[in-house]
Amino acid sequence: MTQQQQLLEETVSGLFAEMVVPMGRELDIDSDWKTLTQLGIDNIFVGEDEGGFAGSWQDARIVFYHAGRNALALPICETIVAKKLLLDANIELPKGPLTIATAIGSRLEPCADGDGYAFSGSLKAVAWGRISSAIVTACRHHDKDYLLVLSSADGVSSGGRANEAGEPRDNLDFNSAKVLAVSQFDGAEQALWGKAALMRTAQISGALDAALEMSVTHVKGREQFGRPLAKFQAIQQQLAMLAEECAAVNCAAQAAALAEDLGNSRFEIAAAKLRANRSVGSATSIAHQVHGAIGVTGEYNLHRFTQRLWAWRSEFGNDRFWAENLGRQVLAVKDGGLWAHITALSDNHAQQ
Amino acid sequence: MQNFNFTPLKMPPDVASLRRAVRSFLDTELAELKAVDKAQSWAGYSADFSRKLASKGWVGMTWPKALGGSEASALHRYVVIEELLAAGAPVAAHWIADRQSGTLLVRYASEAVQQRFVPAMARGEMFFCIGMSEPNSGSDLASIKTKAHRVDGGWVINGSKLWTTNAHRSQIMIALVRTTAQGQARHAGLSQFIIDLSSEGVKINSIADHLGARHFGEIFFDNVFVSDDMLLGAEGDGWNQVNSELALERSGPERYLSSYRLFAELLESLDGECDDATTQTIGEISADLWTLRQMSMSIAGQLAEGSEPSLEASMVKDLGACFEQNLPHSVQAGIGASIPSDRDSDLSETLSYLLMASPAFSLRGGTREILRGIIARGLGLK
Ligand SMILES: Cc1cc2nc3c(=O)[nH]c(=O)nc-3n(C[C@H](O)[C@H](O)[C@H](O)COP(=O)(O)OP(=O)(O)OC[C@H]3O[C@@H](n4cnc5c(N)ncnc54)[C@H](O)[C@@H]3O)c2cc1C
Repeated sequence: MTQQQQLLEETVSGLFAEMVVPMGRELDIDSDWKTLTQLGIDNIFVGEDEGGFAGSWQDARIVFYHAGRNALALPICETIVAKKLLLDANIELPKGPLTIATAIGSRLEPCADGDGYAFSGSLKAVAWGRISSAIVTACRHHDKDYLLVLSSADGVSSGGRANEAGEPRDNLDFNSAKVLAVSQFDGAEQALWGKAALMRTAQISGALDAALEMSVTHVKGREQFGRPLAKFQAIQQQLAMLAEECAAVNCAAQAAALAEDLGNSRFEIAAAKLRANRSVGSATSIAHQVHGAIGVTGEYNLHRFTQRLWAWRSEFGNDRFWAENLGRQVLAVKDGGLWAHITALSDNHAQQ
Repeated sequence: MQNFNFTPLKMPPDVASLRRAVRSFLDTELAELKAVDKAQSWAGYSADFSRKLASKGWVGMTWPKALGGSEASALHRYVVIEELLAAGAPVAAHWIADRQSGTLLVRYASEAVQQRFVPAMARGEMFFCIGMSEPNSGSDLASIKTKAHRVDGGWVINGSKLWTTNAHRSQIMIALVRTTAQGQARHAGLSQFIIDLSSEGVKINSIADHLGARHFGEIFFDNVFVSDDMLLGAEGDGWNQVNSELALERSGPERYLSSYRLFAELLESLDGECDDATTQTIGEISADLWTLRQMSMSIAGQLAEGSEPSLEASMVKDLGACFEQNLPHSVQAGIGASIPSDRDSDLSETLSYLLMASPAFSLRGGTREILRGIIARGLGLK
């Protein structure tokens, strides 16, 4: 880690830990959001002259990780990804919390008054949809890909059950809503989906580490049969397996962030999100098992992490989605097969 | 809580050309090798191949030039060995010498001793084996009974070693033995010795595994004399030396690539076409494989910088062994619509071999349970 990254890590880990919403307190989006934006956490990718951090995906990963590690209930990660997409598409950045979503059956057409474009389509389960001021989404129009910004207020709310952790996941329908900005952007939907999957991978990594830490602390303190649970080999072996999952996902998230910084990361992000998804079942099962009954109570904090892990496994690509995606990538490799392919990925990075 | 370091490694810029050179060498050398022989991975033995590889400068790459090495970086060596494993080259003869024994000698032996062994190791002519396990000491390594007592000008060794890989086809063993009787501190009083296996009093039997292959064996020492300079490192320091050796031993690409040839055969036989279920299986295996490679490379990078991430290495070994052990089962479970079931195919033969060979993957080099115990200690649970 660079010195700058260490500084960033210290800042966000401290800040997010303080922002953890205590039980019963309502999320204070206004004041908490102000704190975050005053420190410029949402501007990781924004240039230094614009008051940003001029950061990389490796820097952003640090923020995502700590958001997961603290179960931070604010759309900071989504905002960072949305801003990066808009920067890449040369679109001016809107104010306020932003989010990202893909659309079903969407349509882009010139506005009747000839000024700009109008968008129609349904956005399902938009993370923090109604809380956000604007949504970044992708659309195809006349065989070209576009990235566009919609005002959340223009969406007609059609339900959308919150995710397992109680984070808003809103369905929003747009009917010839005027887009705030639009730009042609090749592969817009894949870019959006891939970056969002990288974000969730790093958040999963943080939440896994939090679940491990809580589990370790718990088994050291809780005694049965006259000694701490930590002294039982069955418990030790389970937690070693949990730690291995944490390590694997952490490594995958870091390597995917590096790959994204260096260019084409289709393979790495698919592999990393799939690896992260695959850890969730066994990791949450072990963390809850070693806690016993206290772990399933509302007043104990473990669920803040396990609920998010269950939710994030299906967001921006579940196991099946990424396994088919990655499997197809591997089957399509021609020269020299898979091994030549994955070594070329890391060797090409070496040359940059 | 302990934080595990898995900083991603960026390979040095010039590895692509090295990789190409190794691949073109292997294309020629392995052209006649059958699929099931490639599947033996680092258990495949060919003294001839080891000599040819050494003549290219790819054995003992990191050792000093004065000892026949080329002072290459550990990462360049990493590239060579992962290429050898991915291709299924028969590397067993020199594997242990290259991976750990040579490095131990370079680290601990006197110059004269180094000159006696290391150049021959780098030429791929002198092979080493590791004598740790004994009939009554497996996981509980500190309980070993083989002992050495001092005599004029050296030591006399008595006892036996078991499960020694390549016992019957190596010239030299580096053995862990007791030099003082076991006292309160279990790990004290152990030392490492270099033993010439042609010495008087050494008796070796190979042991057939359940496939009939003879890759390991037992060795008996009956008053075997070794001279003073054959004590490796400091007397009584054997336990520490063995443990730092384990970081070299536990995180290399051989800890997740032992079944790779089956995956390669599968992809080859499918030739880009298969059903959705098989596509998913391929995706899952690929994600695990890619992640393990990142983990293993990260540790290689840390080792190259001089740190000793032994906890992380234990994690890679355990996850890697589970992966390479599960791979044959995933392939077997998926045989059907897309995966051909012809029993005479290379794929089928490779699968049979690996189903049977893979239980050893989580035993050799430290069992699953012992590795998880080490990780639990790192978590502060012990
Ligand atoms: C193919 C192969 C090659 C080998 N090559 C070499 C070699 O070159 N040199 C060498 O020295 N050795 C070698 N070995 C031996 C290897 O290191 C041992 O097999 C290993 O250390 C386990 O010892 P063991 O077989 O005696 O099993 P045991 O120690 O008897 O263990 C049996 C089972 O009990 C479990 N167990 C043991 N103790 C505990 C505990 N405290 N808590 C929980 N579970 C426990 C183990 O994890 C294992 O599952 C090789 C083994 C194999 C299979």
